[in-house]
Amino acid sequence: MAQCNYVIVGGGQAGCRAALALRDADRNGKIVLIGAESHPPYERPALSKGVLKGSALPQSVIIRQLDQLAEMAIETHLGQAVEQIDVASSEVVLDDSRRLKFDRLLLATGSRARSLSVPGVNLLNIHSLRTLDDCLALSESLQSCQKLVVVGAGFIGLEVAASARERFGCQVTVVEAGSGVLQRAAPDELRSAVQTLHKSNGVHFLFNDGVSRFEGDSKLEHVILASGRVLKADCVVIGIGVIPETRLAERAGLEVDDGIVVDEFGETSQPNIFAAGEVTRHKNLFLGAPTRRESWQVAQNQSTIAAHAMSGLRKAYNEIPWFWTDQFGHNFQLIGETGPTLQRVTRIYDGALKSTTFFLDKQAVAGAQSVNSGKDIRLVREAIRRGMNITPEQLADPTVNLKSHLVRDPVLW
Amino acid sequence: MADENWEEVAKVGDIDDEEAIRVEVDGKPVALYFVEGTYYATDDICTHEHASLSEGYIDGTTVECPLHQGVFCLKTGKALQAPVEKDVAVLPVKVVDSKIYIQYLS
Ligand code: FES
Repeated sequence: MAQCNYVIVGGGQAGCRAALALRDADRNGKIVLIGAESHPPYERPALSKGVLKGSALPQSVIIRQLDQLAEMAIETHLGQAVEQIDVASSEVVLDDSRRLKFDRLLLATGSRARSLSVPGVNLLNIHSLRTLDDCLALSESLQSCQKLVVVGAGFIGLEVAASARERFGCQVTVVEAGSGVLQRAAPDELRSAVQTLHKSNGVHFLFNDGVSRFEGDSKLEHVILASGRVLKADCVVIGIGVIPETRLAERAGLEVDDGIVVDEFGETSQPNIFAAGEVTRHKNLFLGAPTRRESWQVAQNQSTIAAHAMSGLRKAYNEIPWFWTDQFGHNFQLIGETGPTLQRVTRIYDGALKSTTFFLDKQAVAGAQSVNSGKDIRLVREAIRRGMNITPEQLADPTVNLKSHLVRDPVLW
Repeated sequence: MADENWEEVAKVGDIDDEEAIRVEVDGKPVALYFVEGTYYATDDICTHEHASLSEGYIDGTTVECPLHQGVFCLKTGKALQAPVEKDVAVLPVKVVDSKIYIQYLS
């Protein structure tokens, strides 16, 4: 077979994982990875946590260094944007007008931070947090920050709030349009546990309010809220969500619906064009309905599925969704289904803040949420896969060993 | 290596099958695992971030970190599943007269 030309647009976790998986699957293909940022591919979760807190080095988030990629014959073009996909000629057009031919193209363009369109948003010391450079700039600002205002009480906003208190001891006020934290993403138990944790660590919340403008003399000084309240601030972080970076796909005529639409193999509406990671609205057989998820897991694993499909190994994406966040030294995780209609059972462990809420669908464990009990999450993954014979009373009892209630795997036993 | 620096950390029967406990060896936290009749020991702290592997999930001769599901081989310490990339240190274990000893490097 002639050598296949693979082009990957997007140099983040999904793009890099896809490149590595492609190299595994196709020893001889030509693989080109194009990234808009100049850093080698890196993972983002630690940017708002370990790196910002200073417990992890910026270097530690790098997935592969450029020389490691070169050794695997993965060609990289970093700091370079793709202007256009020429579908008719199967070429991508770079910002310096160069054209690269592809047989198979992968779009792993990720997301960009949503910004606020209010007066004063371009003042100094107003940040968003998406890239490694954003993280380093924010760290720098926080060094001399006494009063931090975080706009948005989603995961990023809360992680930044926690890191800023822990490392820099800033006074932190979180302004949120909704009536509580994590309104988009989490079950009630998680929301209240996180909110309580933040309050007990001195984070102030202003709910049902928003920013009407920022004021200052080149540098930020005040945040003026919709309610009329005025907050003194040295630094602001805007964490009001992300927008999937679908512009390139739209211009190429691919189907887009709040994310590039792909099937369970990562294929877009255009043959030979695939998409991976959080830019996709993808099909996951476990969930049924197409979904777009901003998670490490999707970047890591759905990208591998897409890469395999590109190389001709079609295997459907079928994975139990899993998510984690670390705040104030506490670890919170979600797995499987955690919808409001499911029956809930909570087990509370002795001592430190440690608990697991199980979500039951007709007696069967369908999902869970944990506070510092990650091992239970792993057990629930097993329970969803192969079943667990357990009563709600036993689930609630922290002395009951969950592992011994798992249905034995017929394949293994 | 000379046969020294063995520290008594636990007794046979202290750990159930497919479980782990956290012990201290030379003042440092170590995870001691018991799987199908064999004891294994690794550094307790994950090589990714600050998590205790003794609170992880044991599956055969692997342990999965409770924080972000990185997986290590108990026999070799090898990092087997992202996000962990760096291997974890393994320590020799021996059982004498129903007492469990772990050896540390001085
Ligand atoms: S701390 Fe162990 S996998 Fe992250």
